[in-house]
Amino acid sequence: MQRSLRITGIICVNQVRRVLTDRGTPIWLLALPLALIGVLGMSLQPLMSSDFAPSKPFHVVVAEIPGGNHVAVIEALRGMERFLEVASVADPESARELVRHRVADAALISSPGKPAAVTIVAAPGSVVAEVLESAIERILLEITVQRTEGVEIAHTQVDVTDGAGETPPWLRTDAFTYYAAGITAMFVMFAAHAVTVTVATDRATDAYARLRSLGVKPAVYMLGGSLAAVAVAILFVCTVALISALLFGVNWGALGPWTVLTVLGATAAAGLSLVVMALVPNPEHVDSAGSAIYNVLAFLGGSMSPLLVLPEWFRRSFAWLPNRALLDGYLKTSLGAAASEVSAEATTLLVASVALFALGWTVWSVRGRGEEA
Amino acid sequence: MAMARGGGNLEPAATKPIIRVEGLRKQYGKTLALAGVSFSVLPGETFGLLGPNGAGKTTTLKILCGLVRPDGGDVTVDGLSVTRNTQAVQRLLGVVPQGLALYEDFTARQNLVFFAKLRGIPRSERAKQVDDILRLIGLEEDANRRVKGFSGGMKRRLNIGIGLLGNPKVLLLDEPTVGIDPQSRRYILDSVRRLADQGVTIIYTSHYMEEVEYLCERVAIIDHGRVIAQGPIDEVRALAGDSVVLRVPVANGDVVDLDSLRSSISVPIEARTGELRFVLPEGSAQVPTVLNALVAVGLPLDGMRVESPNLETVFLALTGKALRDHGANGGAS
Ligand SMILES: Nc1ncnc2c1ncn2[C@@H]1O[C@H](COP(=O)(O)OP(=O)(O)OP(=O)(O)O)[C@@H](O)[C@H]1O
Ligand SMILES: [Mg+2]
Repeated sequence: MQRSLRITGIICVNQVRRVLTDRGTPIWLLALPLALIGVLGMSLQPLMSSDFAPSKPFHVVVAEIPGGNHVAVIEALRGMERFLEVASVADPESARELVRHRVADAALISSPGKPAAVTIVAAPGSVVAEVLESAIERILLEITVQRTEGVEIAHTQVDVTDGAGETPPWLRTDAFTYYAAGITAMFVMFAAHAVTVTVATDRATDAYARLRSLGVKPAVYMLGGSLAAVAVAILFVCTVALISALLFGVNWGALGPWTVLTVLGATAAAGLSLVVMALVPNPEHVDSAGSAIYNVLAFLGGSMSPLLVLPEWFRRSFAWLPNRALLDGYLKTSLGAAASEVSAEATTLLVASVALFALGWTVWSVRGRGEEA
Repeated sequence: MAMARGGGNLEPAATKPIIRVEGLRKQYGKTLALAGVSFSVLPGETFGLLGPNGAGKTTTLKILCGLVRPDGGDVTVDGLSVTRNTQAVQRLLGVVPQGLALYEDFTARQNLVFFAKLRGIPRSERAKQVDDILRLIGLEEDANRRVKGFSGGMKRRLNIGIGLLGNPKVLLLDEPTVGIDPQSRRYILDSVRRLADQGVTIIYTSHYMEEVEYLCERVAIIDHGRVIAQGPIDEVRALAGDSVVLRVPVANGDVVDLDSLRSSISVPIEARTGELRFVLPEGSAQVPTVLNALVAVGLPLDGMRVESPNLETVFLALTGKALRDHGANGGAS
């Protein structure tokens, strides 16, 4: 028992060391994610920043149809003087006409009814459209907080009616913080996988045969490798957190909840890469299979396109993904959340860790049977 | 004749074998890798395990060091069964796998230190042992260079060096000289000899006849998972009887009709690049017959050599095929 623990430790330290001394590591696990945080943060800052203001306010025309409960929304928009210059027009058609002839940057057309709707007329993807969307979302949510029944205003593109009445963290954060969290939640998977790849390729070489002939049991070898994957993943997050704080001024929040999220996130990432390794028969394919899977997960989990621009159904459908939970958790802590406030995310990560390790370990040992003495 | 054929067990009564391999069987799916391999190795001797590709040499060694469980049979080392006392047996063994079993991103020293830790060599002895091995394998000056930049021969030497950690009583070497330059090969053979002189029991696997003849006292020749001959080298060599090898050079452009040659003379023929080899079971008396046959198929004769039998001849004589695959082997018809 004690010997097994000692050997697990030696294997673990060795695998960590191999990844850290690999010359590719500083590029793939440091320069690349930091560059992505920088580039994405910078380019999306106008969309997400709270202190962003255009050089002159956007000209928005509003066609109000009396009687809608959207009045409050339009009132609130009028209050955003630095951003918007709101004027009323008589009817929806003339509002559209003004936008078409570029007299106005955007038009808002509201209609009464249940549910009421607010339609934004603007060039798709334009800054003014984004500003209006996020502004209306915020306003709607504030109204939701005020009313108990929830607001039934829907509008064509933005339909956030978060029943809980709490503004999701990804609406309240700036782009650098968002991507620092998002890219970390993505690359933590690559960091853990870097170890798993060395474990997988070893198994195809006689280095593994030699370890086995020295009395290293397959399970001990895998355990050492998995611990190394967790360790490298944690090390990765710490490094990126530190550098992104220094370079981009990202505030990661309180150490306690952040540590809980980091340890659980790293464990889930290691578990996931164990599953990938167990399922992919050819060790040479483990690397590329992992990359493909993590890229998809990163997209679904909001690490690439910001959640802000993804449709609600999409956000809801993939909210259970561990990397999404990690992103949400980091954003919350950066906004000042305490440990109790990230318990949902922590639970998701814990469940994912346990499930992934159990699955990976089972598949791996079933497949390894017969091959091992 | 005092010799063992076909896997029989015959060993000098004086010393008890340190390794007994008994009736090993191993099946991989449809492939029968070992069909009952038995041999035994005496303490301190260098034992050659000889056989062509796929004969079952590596499988035998893997069972010996507890990496693969046999379907039948067992191995005992120093009286301990490898299937029941795997860990105890493993502590007695030094293993040099056929492939390079090391980390290319590490330096030679880092590799040795890592495996020394796993071997359980106490910290106090580690540095000295690592230094000793580096000296033995001639890598002292390159100790702190990454293995990635090593030549094939240097990597092979380190591969062997790692197997020497912990001063094992028994060393298993699986084709340790594959694909290296003659100089490194020489170096390795001499190192193995030095180890043997120090009393280490060695199983040396190879398909290079010369190496086995140079290093080993006794050999087992295996083919298709069976021992086809074993015993002291001289005795095994004598299995070839009076036979000699006739070597006839073939110029590059010459087309040899092997099939009609085989039909006119019934001796084993091995076609190599630039050369034909004939095993003549009845000795040099058969030389004229072969030469006549060669003339008959229209091969211009440009010299020839008659050699006394070696292990390669034995293999050829026993199986009718060459021990090693050569480019032109049997294909030049
Ligand atoms: N893991 C495995 N799965 C399936 N077949 C295997 C496996 N290992 C070995 N074999 C087969 O068993 C037979 C014996 O293989 P082995 O590696 O023992 O031969 P060898 O004498 O070491 O050959 P070589 O000189 O090429 O190293 C071969 O036919 C090989 O294809
Ligand atoms: Mg082999």
